[in-house]
Amino acid sequence: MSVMAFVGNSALSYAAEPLRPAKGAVVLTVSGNIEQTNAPGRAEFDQEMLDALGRKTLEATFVMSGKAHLFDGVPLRAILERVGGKGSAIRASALNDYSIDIPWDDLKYDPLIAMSADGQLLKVRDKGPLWIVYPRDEYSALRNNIHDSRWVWQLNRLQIIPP
Amino acid sequence: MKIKLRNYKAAVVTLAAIAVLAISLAFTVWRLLNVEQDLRTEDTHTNLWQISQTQFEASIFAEVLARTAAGEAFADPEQAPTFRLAILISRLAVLLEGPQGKVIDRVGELESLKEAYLRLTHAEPLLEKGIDTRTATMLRVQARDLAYQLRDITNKVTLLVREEAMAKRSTYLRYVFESFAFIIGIAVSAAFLLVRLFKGMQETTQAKQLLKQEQELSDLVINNISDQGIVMFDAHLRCLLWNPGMEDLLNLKPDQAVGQHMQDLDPIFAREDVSNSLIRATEGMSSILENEASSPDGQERCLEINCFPVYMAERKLGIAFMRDVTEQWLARKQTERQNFDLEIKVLQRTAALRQAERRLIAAIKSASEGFAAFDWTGKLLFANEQIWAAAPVSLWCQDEMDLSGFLRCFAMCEGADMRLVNAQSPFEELELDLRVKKDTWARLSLTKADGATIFVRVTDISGYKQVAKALESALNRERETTSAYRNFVSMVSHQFRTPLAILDSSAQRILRRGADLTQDELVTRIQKIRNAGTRLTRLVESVLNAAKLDAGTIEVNPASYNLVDLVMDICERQREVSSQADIRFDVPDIPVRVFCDGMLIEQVVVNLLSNAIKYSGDRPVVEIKVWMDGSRAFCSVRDWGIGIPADEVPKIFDRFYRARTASGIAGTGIGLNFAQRIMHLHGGEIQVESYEAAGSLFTFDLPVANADQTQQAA
Repeated sequence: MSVMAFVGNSALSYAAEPLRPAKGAVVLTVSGNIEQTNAPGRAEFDQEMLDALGRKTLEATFVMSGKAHLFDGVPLRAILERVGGKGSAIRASALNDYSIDIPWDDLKYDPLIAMSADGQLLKVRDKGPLWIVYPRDEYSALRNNIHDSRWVWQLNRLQIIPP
Repeated sequence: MKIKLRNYKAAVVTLAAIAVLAISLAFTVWRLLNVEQDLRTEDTHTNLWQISQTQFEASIFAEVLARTAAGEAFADPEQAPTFRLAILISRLAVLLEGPQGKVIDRVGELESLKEAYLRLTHAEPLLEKGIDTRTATMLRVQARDLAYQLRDITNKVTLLVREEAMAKRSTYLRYVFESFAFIIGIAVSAAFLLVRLFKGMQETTQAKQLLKQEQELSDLVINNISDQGIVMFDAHLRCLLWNPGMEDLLNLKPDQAVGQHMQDLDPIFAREDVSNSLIRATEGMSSILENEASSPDGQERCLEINCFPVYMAERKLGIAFMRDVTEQWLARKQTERQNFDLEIKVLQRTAALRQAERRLIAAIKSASEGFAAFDWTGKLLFANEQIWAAAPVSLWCQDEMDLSGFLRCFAMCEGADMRLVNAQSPFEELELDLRVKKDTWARLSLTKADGATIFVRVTDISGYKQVAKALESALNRERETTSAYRNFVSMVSHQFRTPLAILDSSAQRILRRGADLTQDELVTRIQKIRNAGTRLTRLVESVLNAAKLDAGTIEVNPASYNLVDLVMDICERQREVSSQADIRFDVPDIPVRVFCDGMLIEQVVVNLLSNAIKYSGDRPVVEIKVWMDGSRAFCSVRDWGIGIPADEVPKIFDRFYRARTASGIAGTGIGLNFAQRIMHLHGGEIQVESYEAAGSLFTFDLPVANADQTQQAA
């Protein structure tokens, strides 16, 4: 818990700081209308950089299996704040070339970029390494096909679309 | 009532229409929700998309493997077989675990797809380690087969979805028709309700119009009634209407009165009882009251105020009608005064009447005769003590007696007849003399007064009855005497004439023959004369005795006698007269002392003895017996002569009666009667026992004298 608190505090302090270049394998690339970059026109995150943004857990039901899982990851909002992204939508793309636009408004539901489910680290073959999950059980507005299709798994790219 | 029923029916119909509307609406909405639910759950496009995505990945994987088999190196890690396998496995996993799994299961391909998944999972470590060309080729074939399989699945799912869509369409069509039917229901019921609403509005308008007309009419009526004051007011007793009649009564114009408080208009409305009545009228209660006051010109007058509730335009109002009833009131007061006087008079009269009644009752109570009063149904009203004490009443009647029961009490008395037994309402007047006890006679009389009250009197008439009886017996005796003397005269004319004729004829013969008569003849004649004389003497004696007896001049001088001596002396003397008779005795040795008049008893014995001799023919035999039995001494005289016929035995003691067997034998019929009466005077009786041609036995009895009397007599 104390680690979490520390991480949370440090995340705030990062907000205006320039992003350091990714040292490990890049798991997420953020591009588009962003202020901070560590590569030409884009911000690249390795696992360590994502962990540094502060982790959060969320329990939600996956509509395909109908089962509830305890997801653990980084809030989408934290990543966008870190890169100073501002826009009308976020185009999320996956390793399997799936792509969808998430309206900026959805941030009010505080979707999570999950890295593990039920304590198991997500791998590519089971919807990893990153998976956008919504607090589907908490908001009835999220329980429909449109929002279910925003649960992007095997996420690797985010593009901020300017207003 | 009819209107109410109609209202009720209309309400039911309206409610039914509303219910139909609601049900139709609910059902239609439900059907639409069903369709919506169906559409939401059946995401066929997603299924096909997922399968085709997987198929695409399988094809990509096959192509990558082919390139691997050809020895190509991959610069982009996303083109590496391991990465593509991971993507394919993740796609397959979604197919197997998601709703697509169920669809695939329905087309019967789930098991083979699971096998393919397992095979790919097993291939993962091979690819991690690095794959040789042969294996890559084999794996490529598998991946390609998977792609084909997925293509087939797509086909099958598409066909399935089409079939299902067909079925769904027909279902939805049905839903559409159903909904249409219900929409028609909605339309019809809504139309009905609208019509009803319209009609209701129309009726309301009509009712309002009618009300207005009625109000106009009532205003017209109210304003034109001048002999009666009419005022209307609201719950705050503010005047709303004031008609010309009120103006006449209270000298206040309508424009002065309307809008003002009633209490301020006239002191009459400020009175507590009046204002209470007005308030009650606005609360829904009617009342009527009279108010006596002075009119403006100072004369006494009386106003009648009728207060009624009025509901007008949803408001609770009151209406009061005022009338000048001074004349009636004065008349009534007069009547009341007269009534009061009358009541006092009635009271006085009643008191007087009560007093008279008490006196009457006291008189009745103190009367010696029994008195009772009954009403016309026979119910007892009053009875005095004497009637309760009357013998049959005290025996038979209870406290609760009615007239029938009362009369039946007397039914067993001597003198009663069936009228007493059958007496029923309406009762008839009657008067009866009844012997209620041995020596008590009562006169029962039933009289009706005014046709309603029945009076019963029970008078003791014992004294009267005794006197009547005495009179009757005197009369009888008188009659008897008269007839006796008539008989006597006829008897005497016969009995006296015979010896007189003998006397005369003997005297004539002696006179005619004179000296020619022989001594013997003379003696015979003279003897005949003497016998006739004796017979006459005896006749005279017996007649005298009878006369004495009738006159009551025979005195009984009782003394003590020895019955035996008495009888013996008489017999001695009789023997001298009738020497031919054989008289026998059966007497006790001791003296039999009796208490009697010797002279009279001698008459009795002589009579019995001479009778016995007289009716026994030429050779009479007579037996005389004397004996004692207890306190009585008995003497009997028996003969064996002609006797008395059985049917005549009871009559032989009647005066002048002679049995038919005695004809031809001289006698007056006085003797036995005389003897019997003498015995009665002594408290004894002559008993007779006789048989025709066999003889008779006469017995008489006398009281035995006790020792004291004997000594006294001595």
